[in-house]
Amino acid sequence: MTKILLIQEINDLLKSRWIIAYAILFFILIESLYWFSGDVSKVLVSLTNIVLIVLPLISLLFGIQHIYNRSEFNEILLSQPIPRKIIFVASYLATTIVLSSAFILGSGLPILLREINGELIISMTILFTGVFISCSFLALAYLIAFSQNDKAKGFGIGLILWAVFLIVYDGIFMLILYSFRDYPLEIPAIVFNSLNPINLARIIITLKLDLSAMMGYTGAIYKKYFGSTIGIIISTSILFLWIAIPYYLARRIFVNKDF
Amino acid sequence: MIKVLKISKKYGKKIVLNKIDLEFQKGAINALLGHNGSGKTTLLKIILNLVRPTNGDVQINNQSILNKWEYRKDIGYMAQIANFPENLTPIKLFDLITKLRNAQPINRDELIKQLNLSSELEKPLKNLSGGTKQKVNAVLALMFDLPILILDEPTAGLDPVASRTLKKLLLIEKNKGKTIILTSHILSDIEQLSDFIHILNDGNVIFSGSKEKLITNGNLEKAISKLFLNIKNKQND
Ligand SMILES: Nc1ncnc2c1ncn2[C@@H]1O[C@H](COP(=O)(O)OP(=O)(O)O)[C@@H](O)[C@H]1O
Ligand SMILES: [Mg+2]
Repeated sequence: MTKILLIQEINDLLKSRWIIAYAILFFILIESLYWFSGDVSKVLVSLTNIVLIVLPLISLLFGIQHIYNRSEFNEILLSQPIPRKIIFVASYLATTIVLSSAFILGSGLPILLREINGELIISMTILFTGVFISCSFLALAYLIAFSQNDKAKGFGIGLILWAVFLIVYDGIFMLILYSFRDYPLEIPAIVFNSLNPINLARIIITLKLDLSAMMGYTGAIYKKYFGSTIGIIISTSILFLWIAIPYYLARRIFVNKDF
Repeated sequence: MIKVLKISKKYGKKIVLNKIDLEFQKGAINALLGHNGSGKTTLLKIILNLVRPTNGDVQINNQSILNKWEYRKDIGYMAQIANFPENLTPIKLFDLITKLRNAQPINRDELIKQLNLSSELEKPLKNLSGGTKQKVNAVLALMFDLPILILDEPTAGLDPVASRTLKKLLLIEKNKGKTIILTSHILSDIEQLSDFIHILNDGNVIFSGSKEKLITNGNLEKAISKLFLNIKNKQND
């Protein structure tokens, strides 16, 4: 049952063509960077920015759009002898598989082919973090779209969430750091940072790259307290919670929703 | 038999169904009547677990069905607004549902023939007229030969020929011993089809019984007007 739904929904997603546009966009970005700079480290920094900035937005928009499009299947599927949980799992798997594949094929392939004997581990780390980020923001997209029947409001909330995680959050963080600069802030900084999946992803990548310039305050603390390896393990685990918790909440809303 | 026990449904503060008790008989056509917005669709959706009741229980063959899903293998459902996957063709939709249910669509080809759908099967649903979509909807509900049929305004939007065909099919299904629940605004349809009539008004059941009990003299329309008039008078007292 799950498999039938999964295949049907993946086909449905591939027909929308958006996903192909995303894959081509990723591909063009990476290819042009290699052409114009030819410098691996610049490409990797750009890939990092794609993962931290573009991918969360695309995941939210893609996920929210898909849920509203897919709503025309709701009554027909939910009146069949299928548990709602299975319908939810199949749908979430379909979107994550399709979006991650677009990301890996679009930006991963051109990098991996060139870096097979170069910066393979670092490239893989960034790509892997990208997959985590899209799983997390897709789960958030499901959470938003299933708790908000109004499509325009759903997109609005998605955009606000993205802006908050990407911009507003760091602003508030800097403000707090500045206001309480006389106090020891390292532990609160780690906790505060865990509440933002984009920051977690940034820490994972910068710890791996050992890029202190991009690491930021919290990244440096992670490195100081835990060292790179443990730091990566801890931040990856928390990022995993950023998939699991929104996923669980979205599923609960879906299972109890009126259609 | 389907039993609705003290079912309530609120949307926010609005009470759509207020502790409703009803029984739908096997081997009979049960018609659910009421003004627009009286909660007919909501009640049908509660029986399918598409909508969660605020309170109460629904039992099919004395088993509670709330939060269950297996029992839906026995139910064919015709939704009121044929809200369909627009890009699918009818034949693809039939195939998908057949695969998902893992059942034999034994009536499918006969229904397609009777409802004159053959020439529409390969067109995307978005290109089909409302009436044609409603025929697709009917095939989906009837093609598996299921013991319970829940039909929300099944004849709405159908042309007279298709409407007559569908009614004929429903009577045949009833005579096979099925439990059929339908809603309709077309009183002549109800008069022809139903064995039992249940009327909802302001979240309450104001009549539930056999058609003969309701229509003591004259016709259904008169009987219903009289019923609503009585209620109004009671409210004014
Ligand atoms: N999802 C919903 N949210 C809020 N109100 C709803 C919802 N669905 C139905 N209603 C309200 O419940 C009432 C009953 O609707 P419905 O069951 O569709 O009536 P009927 O089928 O008898 O015309 C209506 O007033 C409708 O506006
Ligand atoms: Mg209705």
